[in-house]
Amino acid sequence: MKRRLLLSLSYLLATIASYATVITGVVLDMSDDSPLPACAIAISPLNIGTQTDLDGVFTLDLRPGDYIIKASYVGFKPYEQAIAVGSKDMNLIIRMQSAENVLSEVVVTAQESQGPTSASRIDRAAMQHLQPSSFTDLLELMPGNISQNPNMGGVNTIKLRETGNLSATGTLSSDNPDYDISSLGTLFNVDGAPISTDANMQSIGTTAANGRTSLNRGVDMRSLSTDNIESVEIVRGIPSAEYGNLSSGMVNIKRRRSATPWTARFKADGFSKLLYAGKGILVGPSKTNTLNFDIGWFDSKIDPRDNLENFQRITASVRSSLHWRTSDVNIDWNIAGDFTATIDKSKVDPDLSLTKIDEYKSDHKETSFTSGLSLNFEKLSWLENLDVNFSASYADDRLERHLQVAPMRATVAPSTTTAGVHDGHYILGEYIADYLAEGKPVSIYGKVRLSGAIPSWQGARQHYKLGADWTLSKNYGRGQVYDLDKPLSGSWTSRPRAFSDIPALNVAGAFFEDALTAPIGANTLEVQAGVHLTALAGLDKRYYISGRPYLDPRVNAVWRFPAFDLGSRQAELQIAGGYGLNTRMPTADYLFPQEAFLDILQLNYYDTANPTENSRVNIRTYINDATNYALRPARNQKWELRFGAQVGANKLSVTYFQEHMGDGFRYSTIYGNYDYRLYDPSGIAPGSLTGPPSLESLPYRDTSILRSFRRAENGSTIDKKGIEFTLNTARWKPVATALTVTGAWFRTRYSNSMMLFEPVTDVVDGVSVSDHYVGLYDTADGRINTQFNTNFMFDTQLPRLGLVFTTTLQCMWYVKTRRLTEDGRPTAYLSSEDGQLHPYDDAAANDPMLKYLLKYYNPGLFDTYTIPTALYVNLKATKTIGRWLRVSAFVNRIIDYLPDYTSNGLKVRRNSEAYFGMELNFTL
Amino acid sequence: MKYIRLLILLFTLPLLSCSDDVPAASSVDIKIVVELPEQFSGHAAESSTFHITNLSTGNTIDITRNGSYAATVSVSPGLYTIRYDGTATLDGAPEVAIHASVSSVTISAPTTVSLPAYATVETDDLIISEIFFTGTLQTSGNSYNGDQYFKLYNNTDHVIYADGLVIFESLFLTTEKFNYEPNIINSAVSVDALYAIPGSGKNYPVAPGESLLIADIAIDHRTINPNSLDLSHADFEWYDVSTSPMYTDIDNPAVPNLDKWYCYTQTIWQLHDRGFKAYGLARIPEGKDAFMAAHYYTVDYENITVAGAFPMTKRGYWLPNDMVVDVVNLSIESNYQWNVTDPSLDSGYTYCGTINNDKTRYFHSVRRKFLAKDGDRIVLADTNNSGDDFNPFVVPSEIELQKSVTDISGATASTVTIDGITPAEQ
Repeated sequence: MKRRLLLSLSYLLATIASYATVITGVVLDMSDDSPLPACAIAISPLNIGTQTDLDGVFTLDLRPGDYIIKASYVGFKPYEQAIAVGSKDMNLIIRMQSAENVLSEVVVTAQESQGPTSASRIDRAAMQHLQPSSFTDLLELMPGNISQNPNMGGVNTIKLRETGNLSATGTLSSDNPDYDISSLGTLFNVDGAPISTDANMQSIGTTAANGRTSLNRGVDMRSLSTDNIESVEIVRGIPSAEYGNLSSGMVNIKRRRSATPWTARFKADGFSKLLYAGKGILVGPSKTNTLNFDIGWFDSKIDPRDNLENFQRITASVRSSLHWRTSDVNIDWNIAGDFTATIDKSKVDPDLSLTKIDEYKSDHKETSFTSGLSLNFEKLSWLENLDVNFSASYADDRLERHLQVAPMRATVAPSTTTAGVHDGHYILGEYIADYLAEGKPVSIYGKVRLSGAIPSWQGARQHYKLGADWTLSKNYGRGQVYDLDKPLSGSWTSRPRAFSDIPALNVAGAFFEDALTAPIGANTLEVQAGVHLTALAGLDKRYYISGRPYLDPRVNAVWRFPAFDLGSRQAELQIAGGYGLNTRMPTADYLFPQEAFLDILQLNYYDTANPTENSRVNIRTYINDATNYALRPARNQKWELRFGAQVGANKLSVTYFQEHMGDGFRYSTIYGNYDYRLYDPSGIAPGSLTGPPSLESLPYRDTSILRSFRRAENGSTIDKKGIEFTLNTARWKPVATALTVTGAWFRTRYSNSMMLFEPVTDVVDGVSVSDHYVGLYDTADGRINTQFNTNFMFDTQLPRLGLVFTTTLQCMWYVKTRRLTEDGRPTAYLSSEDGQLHPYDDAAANDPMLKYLLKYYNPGLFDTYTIPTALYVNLKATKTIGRWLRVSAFVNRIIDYLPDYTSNGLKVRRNSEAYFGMELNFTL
Repeated sequence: MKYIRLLILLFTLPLLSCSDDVPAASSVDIKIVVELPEQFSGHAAESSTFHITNLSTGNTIDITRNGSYAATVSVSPGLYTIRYDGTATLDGAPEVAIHASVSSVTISAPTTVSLPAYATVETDDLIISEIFFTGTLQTSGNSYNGDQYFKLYNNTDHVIYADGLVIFESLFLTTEKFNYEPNIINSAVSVDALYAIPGSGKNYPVAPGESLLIADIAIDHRTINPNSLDLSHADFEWYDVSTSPMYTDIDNPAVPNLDKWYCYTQTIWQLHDRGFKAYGLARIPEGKDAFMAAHYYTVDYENITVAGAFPMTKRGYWLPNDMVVDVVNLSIESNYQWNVTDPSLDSGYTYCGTINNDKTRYFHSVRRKFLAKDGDRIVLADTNNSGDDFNPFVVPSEIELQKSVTDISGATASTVTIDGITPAEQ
């Protein structure tokens, strides 16, 4: 920079000192001699330049000498000409050739991988055209997905190859924690290091705060900015054995590491604003190393009309790629430092709500360091590469609630943190409650990988990969901090807990994979086969999982038939398939849950004469270890079959897949029998007391009651099957348009895999049935959902105009959902009399209390609900203006076709709202 | 260009589908026939008026046909509520009012609408004179509902024993009408809570013109909420025993508790604080155990939502109409759909607030109207039409008597009335 400045300065001085020659030129389009305005002209080796005016004319003053004049214009081939400037003024005519036929087209959609497993690859050009606010928006390009409005008011989780949880109305309900494994089991890898969320504990009490925290739900895609991403590969099929601790699939993110000019992006849409600036420079003596840095800011409202709820993301990143070359070894070292902050805020409007103070704020500030060292040995064949990856991250998470609590009646606050009998107290009147969940999750990751060639027979090539990795996750936060006497609600029963007391979670992995490419006749066979071993290290011996390695065999193979001619085009066919087991270890929250506090009121005496002094609440508290030592990892078994064809530039890929997971994580309710002493205060005459009544003076009865707590279980089943397809056609020259058809048919079954205790709420003759009897139902509580969609994307590219225009017709042909048939008759019931399970026979069904355990389901509940075809048209356009500006705009659902349909004889009307936005991109 | 053609097609598709035209409205003749109760058949109506209300326009046509129980009228097609008011005299008996109504009938073609009629019978038992279901507001503006109460009144000229009288809550909402199957409304009320006044028969006498205060929690609520009431002088309270601190009720040992026969919720029974249910009184001769064993039933229906109709189920008890002593349907004008009891039990509804979630409803109750004075005894209106019999949305009697807070501003009550409107001096 400094040098450049000096140079221009010296040039300026020289111009003043000597006599300058005037060069006048005109820049024309070679095809029709029309002038090209605003064309950039540069003179080398001098660092000067100019631009043509509206008539394509430019003027320059130069000292006599030899120069090279360069002209560049979007959509045209660069122009260079040597000129010898004498003392006489010169006139130049520059004719530029359109680059339309030579510019490579931009790929504005996801591309199906040609490798052994099914994966979608999304490049920078596609992202730029898509204009995403966060990583979530990229998923629109995946088979089976259509564009969605941003939902920044809740955690954005990923789901691969499934319909997602649907409600009875067929709409997506993302908050069912029973199937969190869908997103938890998807691995996000950024520059070779996984994003670890296992030590995330942010929650309110023991539940995720209405979908706002990502506890046990994996990566929150809202926090991932797309601006510094070079490419994304989303593996839907069976991932390479190299990657472990995942169950459904993986996302590989590769970020930009190259010299780039300053780029800046400003995006605005109905919900949000986004700013980004970044640059990449070449550093080092030989300019072989790169340094990239960027910052971004995103601010979104959940509802554009509501100023009280918003989500912000701030990102900063510095990345460097360093290279050394010796005669024996090439060393590449990628290092990066990142900072990401997300702030999720919500407040109630005191003018609209009866509650005047109700604030929620969740901050996440994460700092991370990533290093990837790669040694390439040119002279060794058995060891070609040695890779060492390391990453460390530290986050400061604060979830705060500030709430005015106004119990609707006098309530009781249990305030002990020890088991046994103690006195509680009444909460009389309103108060302000403050709740803090402070998490400081730390994650450290290391990986070593060797790869090289294995000798094999003539014509075949064989490579191995071998390695091991380790992830440590530990939370150092103070955890839940609040005053037990001022809980967030009148019905609060959990207790504060420090996250720093929770042990570290160590996940160890090792893998071996062999990749074989063999010609068989004129065919080619590629086989990738390996095993990944996952184990939890350093876990208490009481855990079943402790010391047990889980072996994931994974195989992918492709058979490529010999190419042949089809008319004038070359055609290729391939058949591929894969099978694999995929294991996801439980998170720290599942393995080390908080102790379950069960409080039983033994005495509830409110003194009407002097409530503050003479009342007495006596509580017996049981503390249960909610740890499920028998917890196993969630394992997903996948297989797929793919057919691929390519005729000229037309490509088709069709994949059939099936996945089965029978042991997904969920919290189940565990019932037990608890003894307590029930005091009878009815004999106390109010006004006769001078202090709280003594327990000794009261009549009592020793009895027992059924109570429950939550425990993590392998209780969820997800069965997926479906067909995914992608068709890319060659560009049709007359209209410069290509068609991409993607779509999928998915059938997903969500269900429980274990019998369920389900309490009833009836109170009969003053006795709550579920205090004494709870039924155990051999039932299926889930749904079977199917959907079929096809997206038709027409992309028109006119490089000469710098214009890319896409029209996407998104067709959701149907969405169907059916609740699994339930039988309301319990197989057994638990009784508070003995705490034992008893068979639920006919005698029980006629018992005056037990008869209430017979659940009844309206048979129509299990009918299939079908939402018929929904069609939307989305438009997106990108236009390059001049050398440094690119303008993009999009309108999703500018046209919709949502025919009315009937549901049980009732007409249902649908409507949709357009979502639009635009952005400016500067390249300086 | 292929896709442009596709776009045009897409544009025109919605146009093509807009063809469900409705024929222009024209008048149709309907015949309205009052179906008399058995004992009145053959007796001429002395006065006879039909009120035909178009629910969409709100227009009402009143037709007087003295001497006749039928009328023919020309109306435009639409959704109607038709009411009939008449009087008749049986041989040797005093004049009795005859009422009939049918709500939400769709009229699209000439038809005969029959209105099942009933005669108002004076209740020889306690009746509900007030329901305070809205609760109060705390100083911050948050709601408080531990102070809900009922008042039962002896409207007769003799002592009534309250023992065994059952207070019930309807299973259905007056703001939600679905195709309940089986439909038992003509013979029974579907209920989800039953609480009985204790006593063995003559423990709780109520003198003529006296009332009983039945509170959720019979304590001085001002300890918890300064804007609330002192209900420690209540005659009864309903106490929901709980061993869980997640939901606790409070028991005043000095005030007898109602006998909890059945309640749908495991937590605490609160009255619907927007008033979407019906509350009533019943005498159940067969007693608790026999009734509880025989009257549990399941009702299927389709829940109609904007996303379609969804099969659902409710479970509760059916209470035969002849056991019902009194019932008060509560609703609000903006959401009212139907009365959840047979018209013979109640043919109107009363309310606090006019729109859903009306924030002005707090600190208000519904109170039975003053009708006349029989000596010193106040006689309250009882025509089995809560719309006619109650003063809606008035200051509760306990707030008046205690001169306590009447709204969030902290203003206090200054006057005492008989029924929320008629001054007590009268």
